[in-house]
Amino acid sequence: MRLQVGRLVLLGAAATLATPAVVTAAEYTSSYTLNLYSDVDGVEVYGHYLGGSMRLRNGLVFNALWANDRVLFPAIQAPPGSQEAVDAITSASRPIASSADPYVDYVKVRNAVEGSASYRNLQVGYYVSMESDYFAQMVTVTTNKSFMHDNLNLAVGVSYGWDNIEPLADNDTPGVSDYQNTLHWNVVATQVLTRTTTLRAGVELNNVDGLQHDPYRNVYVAGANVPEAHPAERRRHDMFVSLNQYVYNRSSVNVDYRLYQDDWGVDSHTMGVKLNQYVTEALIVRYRYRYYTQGAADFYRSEYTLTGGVEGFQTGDYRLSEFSAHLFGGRVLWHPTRLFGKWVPARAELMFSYERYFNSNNFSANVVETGLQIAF
Amino acid sequence: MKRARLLAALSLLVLATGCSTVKPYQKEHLADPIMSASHTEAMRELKWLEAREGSTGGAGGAGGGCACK
Repeated sequence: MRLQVGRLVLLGAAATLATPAVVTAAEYTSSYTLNLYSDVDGVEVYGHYLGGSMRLRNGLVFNALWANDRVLFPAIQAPPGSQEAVDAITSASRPIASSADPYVDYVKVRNAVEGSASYRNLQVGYYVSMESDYFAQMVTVTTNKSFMHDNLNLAVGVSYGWDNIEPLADNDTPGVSDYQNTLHWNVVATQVLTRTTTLRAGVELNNVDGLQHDPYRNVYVAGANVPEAHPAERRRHDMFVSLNQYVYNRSSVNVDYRLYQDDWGVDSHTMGVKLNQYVTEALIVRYRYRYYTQGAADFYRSEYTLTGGVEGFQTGDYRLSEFSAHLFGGRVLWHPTRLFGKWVPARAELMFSYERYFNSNNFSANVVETGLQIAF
Repeated sequence: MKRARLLAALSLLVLATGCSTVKPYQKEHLADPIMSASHTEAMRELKWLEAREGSTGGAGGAGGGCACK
């Protein structure tokens, strides 16, 4: 059943992406992005994203996106049961079924398809993601309305995700089937302040229930090596604001801030700034910096000395510890109008970006992206 | 209580923006590509950052746009 759903969705997405000429479309856009990630732990991710968008003459818009992530976990230079590397794209970690497993590389593949249709002020979407041990689905409904002569736009969105988790064989954790459900709400307001300034603000609420720890990871508690255990419910909420200012030398500055809190005790602040600049009519560069800081979850300890952890919970996930992180990078966008002396018949956009991420846990990563988008 | 504070802060922000009216023909700069953010790019970034940090959100959800249509 699960495979049939996957095949149907993949076929549907392929058909949507490949048949722009069948329907009378006013505009058709296709894009491809390659995302390369590598970090200090030796985890490498090769992500391919193929997207298509079709706007019909009656105003109906279809969007489809296929994503393929190939995650390489390096051989672990530590005994089985230690806290393994977790890849940065899918949050996946590797199972260890035999004593030889830790000492060879492990590859995991994720395929995801996302489709949406929008008409006037309503958008509906569906998302499915498939891994060998994780099957996720989500439906989304969003509506928005403009006020004040299109100077204020209010959008409300709700989505519901239901995931099935089937842990693979692992030598020291129970491979029990589980689930995770997520209910998400968001309200976003975008206000035009002046001819050159916009302000965007929003709140998001997430209620998550089900399995929320790594089913393959163990933690040392009072000297014993035991499976990780997180609470089965988590209420997460955040508020964000983003100010966009056009500057008259053909550049723009974007400043944003996010405040996040949840009922596990994690709170965080994220601040970012982006500078976009036209170098020529066809070339745009972007520089950015992002700072992130968070507090620890109530049950996080660097060392658990008492049996039972903290009120029955124990974690080896450093994402629940106190730390800070920096991210900086640059992106180049090129809109060629002529190639090899000839006019480019469609609106094309070539993108290349590099970002460097590092945090106070001595972790660092490089993220490189390149992509092509063509609009007809 | 935390949710109420977040909602109150958002409401204040929206109200504080005032009732400015910018005419459609005055929105040339707002429609420039350097003033818009890619939602797809934001979602891709959120995905890998979520795997490295204990927070989520801020990609903006769907909709909203630049109010310059």
